[in-house]
Amino acid sequence: MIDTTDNLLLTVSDLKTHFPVGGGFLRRGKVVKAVDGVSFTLRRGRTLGLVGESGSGKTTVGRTLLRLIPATAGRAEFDGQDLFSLTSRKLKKLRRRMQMIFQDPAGSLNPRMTIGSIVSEPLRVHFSLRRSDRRDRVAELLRRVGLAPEYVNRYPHEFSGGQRQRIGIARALASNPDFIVCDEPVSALDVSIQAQILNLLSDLQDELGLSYLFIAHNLAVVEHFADDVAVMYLGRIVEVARKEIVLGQTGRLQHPYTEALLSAVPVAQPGAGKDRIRLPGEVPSPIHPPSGCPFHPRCPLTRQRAAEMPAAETCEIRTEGKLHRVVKRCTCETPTLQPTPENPTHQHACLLRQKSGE
Amino acid sequence: MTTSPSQSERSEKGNRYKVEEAAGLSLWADAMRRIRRDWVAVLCLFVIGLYVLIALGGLVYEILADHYESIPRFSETVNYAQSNLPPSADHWTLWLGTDWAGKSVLVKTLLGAKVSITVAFMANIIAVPLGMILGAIAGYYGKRTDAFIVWLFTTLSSIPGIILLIALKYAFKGIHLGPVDLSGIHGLYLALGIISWVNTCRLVRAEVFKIRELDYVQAARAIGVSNHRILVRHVLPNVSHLAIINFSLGFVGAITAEVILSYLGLGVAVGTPSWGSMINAARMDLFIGRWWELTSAVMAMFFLILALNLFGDRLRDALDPRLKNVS
Repeated sequence: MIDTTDNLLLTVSDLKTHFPVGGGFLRRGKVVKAVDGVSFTLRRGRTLGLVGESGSGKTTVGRTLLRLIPATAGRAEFDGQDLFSLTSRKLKKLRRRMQMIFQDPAGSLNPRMTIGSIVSEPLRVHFSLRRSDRRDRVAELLRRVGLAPEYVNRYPHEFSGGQRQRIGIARALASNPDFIVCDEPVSALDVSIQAQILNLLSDLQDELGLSYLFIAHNLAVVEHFADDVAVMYLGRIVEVARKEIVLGQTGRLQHPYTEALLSAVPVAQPGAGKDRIRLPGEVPSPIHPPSGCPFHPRCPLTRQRAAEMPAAETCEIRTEGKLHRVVKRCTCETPTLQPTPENPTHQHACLLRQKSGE
Repeated sequence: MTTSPSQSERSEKGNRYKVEEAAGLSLWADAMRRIRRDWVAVLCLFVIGLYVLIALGGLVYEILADHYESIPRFSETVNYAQSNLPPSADHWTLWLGTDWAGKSVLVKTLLGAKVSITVAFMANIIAVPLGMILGAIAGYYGKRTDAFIVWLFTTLSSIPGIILLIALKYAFKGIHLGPVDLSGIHGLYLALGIISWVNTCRLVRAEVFKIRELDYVQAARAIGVSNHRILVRHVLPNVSHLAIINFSLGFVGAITAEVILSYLGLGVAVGTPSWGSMINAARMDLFIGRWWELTSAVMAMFFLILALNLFGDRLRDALDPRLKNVS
C-alpha cells in the first residue's frame, strides 16, 4: 500500500477526529481523541481491512471519511479531491461515489419505508430517472444481492438479519459507487450467513471494481477478505501489512499488539489456545491516552526488554495495581509508522522493533 | 415477520422460490391489528364514536332548526311552566329533568358534546402539528435552533395553564381576522392550541434526538439526502405515532379546559349549551337538592374522558415500537 505507483483511490494523511465531552458553563470540557493521526492509502479495486478492539476508533475513521462526522485535522484525498474542503454541491456529487454498509442491519433501514423506497432513495437523489426505469433498476439491484424483486412492497421488519443486510448492500450499490465503507457488515449476523454476505461482497468487488474499507474486529474475517490490513489501537494505526504477511506466508508481524490480536483468533485444534498472548489491563480511555507509545502499559515486549536493560533506561509504571518495569523510551517517545527494512509495504509503529531501536 | 424458521431459511435463498408480490404489513397496519384485538380499546373507540355521532347529530339539529320554522331552536324551548322538574319518565325530554328555564337537561347535555368535541378537535389540530414540527426541528438541527425552541416552550410552560388561558382569552377580546372572531369560540380554539403544543414538542424533540443518530438517518446523509427531506421522509414518519397518541390524550386536556373556562364564563358564548356552562349554572342548585343538571354534565364528561384516556393508553401500547412484544 505504500507504493504510489499503484492506482490509489483514497489517501488519508494524519486524520484526527476529536470529540469534546463534558464541559459547560465556565468549565472547559475534555476531548476524546477517537482518531488521532491516522494515515493510510487504498488502492482502486482493493480492500483495506481495518481491525481493532471496540473503542479503537475504526468506525469513527469510516464515518469521518464519509463526512458524517466532522474531521478535526488531517487530509483525505479521494480520487484527487480533498474530501474535507468540498463545497456542499461538490460533496453531494461525491457522495454518489462513496457509500456505506452498516453493522446493524435492523437499525440501518427505516422501519416506515418499504424496501423499494429504501433502495430507490439514492436513485432519486442522484439521478433523474423515469418511474419505470427506477423500478427496473431497483428490481435489478435486489436480484443482484440475491433477493426476490417481488419484495419491493415489504417492510424491513418482515425480513431476517441476512436479508436486511442484503437490502443495505443493494442501497449502497444503487448509486454506482467506487468506494464502500463496510462498517462491521457481518458481525451482527449468524456465522452461516456471514460467509454468504462476505462472498456476495467479494463477487460484487470483482464485478464492479469496488474498493472497500472493511472495518472489523475479527481478524479471521479480515484475513479472508482484505488485501491489506491496518491494525488500530487507541485511535492510531499500529501496523499496516499485506495480507500475505498477516497470514504468515512471508515475513512476520512486528507490533506486539498485532501479535496478541492474532493469537486471540480461535484455532480449531485442541490445545492450540495454550500459547495465547494475554494482555494485562484494558484499553485505556481515549480521554487520557498514555504518554509515548499508547500501548506501553499493556505491552509484553517492553517488559521483556526492560528486564534485560540497565536500570537507567527503564522506569516503573502501575498497571492493574501492580508495578511493572518498562523501557523508558516507550513512555516518552511517540512512535510513528515506519516501513520495515525488508518490505516497504509493511509498516509498524513499535519503537523497540524499529531500526533505531534494534 | 417471517414466522417459522423454515420459511425464513427459504427466503434467505432469495429468488430461487417464486414469491408473491404482496403489499407488506406496515407498522401502522400492525398497530391497527393490535388495537382490533384489544376489546378495551374497541369499547373505548365505540364510546368515542358515539360521542362524535351525538356531536354530529347536534350539528345537524342546529342546521335544521335554522332552516325550518317548524323545528324550534334549543334557545326557543324555554318553558317556565316546566322549570326545575326532576327526572321523570313522562316524556323523553324529561328523562334528565329540566333546568331553571324549563329546557330539557337531556337535550342540553347532548348538545354540549358538540361544543366539547369541536373545541378539543380544533385545539389539537392547532397544537399537535405545531408541536411536531417545532419538536422535530429542535431535535434534528440542535444547537441554537434547539436552544430557542426550548426557551420558547419552557417559558410557556412556566406559566400556569389556566392563568395563561384566561390571559389569552382577554387578550383576544375584540380581535377579528376575516371570518375568524377571536373573542368567541375561535379564540378559545387558538388559546388552547397555543398552550397545549408544549407536551408534544417536548416528546418529539427527545425522540428526534435519538432518531437523528440512528443508522438509517446516517445512511440517508451518506447518500446525500437533503436535511429537509431527511426530516420529512425519515424523521417525521418515525415520530408520527407520537402525534396520534398526543392527539387522543390532548383531547382530554382540551375538554377539561373548555369546561373550566365555560364555568368561569370565559368559554363559549352565553346561552350555548355546554357542559361547562351547565356546571356553572348548577353550582347553586345542589343546595336546594337539584342534582340532575350537574350530574348529567359530569357523567357525560366522565365517560368521554375515561374512554379517551384508556384509548390513548392502548394506542400508545400498540404504536410505540419500544413496547412491542411486551403485551
